[in-house]
Amino acid sequence: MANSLAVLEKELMANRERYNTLFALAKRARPRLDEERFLANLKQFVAPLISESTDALIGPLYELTLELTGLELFQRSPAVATLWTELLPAASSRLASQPGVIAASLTNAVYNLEREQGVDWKFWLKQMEKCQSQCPESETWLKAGQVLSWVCGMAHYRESAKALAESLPSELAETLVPRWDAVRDDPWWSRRPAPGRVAKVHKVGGFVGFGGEFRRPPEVVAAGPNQFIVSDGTDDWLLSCDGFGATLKRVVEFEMEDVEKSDISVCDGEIIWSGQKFPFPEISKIGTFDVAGQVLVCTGALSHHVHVFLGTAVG
Amino acid sequence: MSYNLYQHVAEAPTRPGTRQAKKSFDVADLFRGPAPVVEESKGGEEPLDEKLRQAYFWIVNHAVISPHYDIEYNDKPPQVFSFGDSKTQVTLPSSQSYSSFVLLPLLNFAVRRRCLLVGGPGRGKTATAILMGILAGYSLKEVRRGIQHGQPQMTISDLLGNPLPADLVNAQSMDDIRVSWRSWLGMRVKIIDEYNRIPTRTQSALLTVLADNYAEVLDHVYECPPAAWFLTANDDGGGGTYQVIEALRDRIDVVVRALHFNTRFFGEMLTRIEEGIRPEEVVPPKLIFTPAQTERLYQEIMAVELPSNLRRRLEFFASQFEFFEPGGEQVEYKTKDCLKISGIDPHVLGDQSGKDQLKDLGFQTQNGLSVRAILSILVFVKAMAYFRGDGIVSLEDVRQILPFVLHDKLVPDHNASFFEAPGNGSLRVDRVSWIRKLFDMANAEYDRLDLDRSDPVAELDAEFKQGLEGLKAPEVKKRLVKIERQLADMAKGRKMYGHLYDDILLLKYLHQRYTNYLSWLQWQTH
Repeated sequence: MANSLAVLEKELMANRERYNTLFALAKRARPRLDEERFLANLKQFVAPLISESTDALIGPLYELTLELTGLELFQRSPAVATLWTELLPAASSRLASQPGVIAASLTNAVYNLEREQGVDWKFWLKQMEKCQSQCPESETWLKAGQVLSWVCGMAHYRESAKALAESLPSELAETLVPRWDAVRDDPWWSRRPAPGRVAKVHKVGGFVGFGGEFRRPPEVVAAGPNQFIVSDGTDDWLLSCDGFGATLKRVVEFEMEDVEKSDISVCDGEIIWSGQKFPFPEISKIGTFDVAGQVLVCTGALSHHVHVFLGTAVG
Repeated sequence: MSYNLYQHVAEAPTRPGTRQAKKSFDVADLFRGPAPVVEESKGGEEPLDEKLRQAYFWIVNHAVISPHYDIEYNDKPPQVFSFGDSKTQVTLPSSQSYSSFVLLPLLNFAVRRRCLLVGGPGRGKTATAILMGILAGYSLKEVRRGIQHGQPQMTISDLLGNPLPADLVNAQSMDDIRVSWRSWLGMRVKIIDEYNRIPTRTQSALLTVLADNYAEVLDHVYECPPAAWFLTANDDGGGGTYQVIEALRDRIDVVVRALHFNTRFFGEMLTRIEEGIRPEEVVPPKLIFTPAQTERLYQEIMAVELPSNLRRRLEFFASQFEFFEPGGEQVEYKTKDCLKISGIDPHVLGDQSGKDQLKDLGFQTQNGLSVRAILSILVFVKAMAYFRGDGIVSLEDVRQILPFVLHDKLVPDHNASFFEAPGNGSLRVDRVSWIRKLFDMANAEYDRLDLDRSDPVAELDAEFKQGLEGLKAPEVKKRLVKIERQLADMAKGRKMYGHLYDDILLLKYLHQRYTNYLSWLQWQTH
């Protein structure tokens, strides 16, 4: 660490005019940028990533740290701080080739994962470190990160993540998506209940005053395979769901797709399917519901939450 | 790979249009967020108009203090305020507007022409030119080395290069003498600082490079690559150490004035001094244009369409100035060009035509538009439209660009009655407003004559452009009669204006072509 600090200090002294200009410009753009905090961040987050052989990292990481300090992301986002103290030191050899691209891309990734309700960013960081050995190229590693984001719950990325996984070596795809051979055809595979049964798989949404999305109890309508439009009368949201997660994304215009018909229905806290009744007390005061294939989505008459159920057909 | 800072390159789209509905979510969005991921320009298919706008916004926001939005666009009626007894109008543009001091050099960079930056010391002329060099991919050191600083002792060798001394001694012929060319000659951005301090003889050598793109020393020729030129001058009135030779001035395509320093930006200046901010050191790599991109940029600009109705308006405007009725006996010689060659003061000849001297725009200038000026207009209006992300030039593009292209090309006659009229006195000084007013007046006249809908001369011209091949004698005779009738109609108006002058000469030309063709047809049948 002492050596790293010496390398950092040497580089900053050697190009002090440039670094001072960068700081001054950043300060103009973000007047709250604090010099002391920035220096502390440099020591805490950047210094561990550099050595004498990787002093070329300092310039790009200095600029990125300046930006992240200006946004106070190291302080506000535990995911970003964890990335910089755990994953990036473990990947310091990769940073040498494309420091700006890799560090910034991963920072954005954990930031986005952290902001998504129900998405496990810690698992993402863990898996990213784990799959490093299978990704000799940094580009492949970043692609792996994109696929992993879907596995961690970013359901709206499903189609593009699946396409990306197809392009990766099969062993790596299997590491990233357990039972990739099955999940490829059935995105619900990991959560599928026994044949003939119905299970509750996700609960999303919530009142806007408590950090959720909806101002009023929403209504739902099926919009295509594994996707539904949920509306609170003010905004429309696309609910994307699969075995890994469910996400709500605001949409302005959306093209509805054909939906597979189903005989699933809901009545007085029970889901009725193929003559069988499955009790679920949380939907006793049902608002609206709709079905796409074997996926049922219900909203409550007095609740701001959206419930996602999954059935498995017999045979 | 270099990383971008928060230098805040304006995020695309810099000129937003109608938002497109997003059709699907892409996992690539995972890596987009607060931390800017900046890859160096790959020279690929990225949209260059967007990149050009990003460069513009970066320069105005971070590099050059030029808080003047003098190139105004409006997409709805703007708010206008009047100040003082003189009713000085201040317009708040309703659409994206620009600072000419940054925009015009950038357009010049894109179309690889010659831009003169004029203004007092310390206004950022050289700094702007340096930024253009950096946008072209040169390092700050290379750009600085490449700047030619005009000074009274500057020789041709200083400018172009030296023959190698050893060769001078040993050479048996001129071919044996190798020349060490100055490195700036090979650069795609060429900067001549204070060009009006270069001695006249050296200016002539500079003219060859600037005009013909090659340098010559001792019978050796150096072919220069296409380049954007930036010349600076503290005084555009030829008041440098040396008078700038006219041929050199004539080659300047666009003139930009560095406007005054707004004292409200004193604090900004102070911060720069205190913090040692040098924006040219930190130009974001994303904004750098590769040679291939520079070439593609030029090709894309040239592909911008100038619609025929707009071209016609430009023709109408340009036709106003060359005609000078007392300038000759024969119609072809009734031009200001003839007058200039004669060296006679136009006021000696006077104009007894009885035309309204306030309305005839020709009275306001001492010269007409050169072919070079018209070429520059065509190139820069396309660049302006391209910069705004349009594939077609608009009337406003022309209106905004004309003053900067014609700034040094259209010489006002300060004795003209127009400048004596109330409210027009300041136009003697403010050439940008004067030229814009000229264009507005020409447009008003064009609309009054309803030439968009009824232009018989244009119809006759279009008919001729369909070709003479296969045309029979009766049809040719019919067309000749039409031309004669048209001329007779025009003659009824009694007054001859610049635009009529060009029309008359065109009709004469058409008449002669048809007459010759008819003679040939008749010779064939006998």
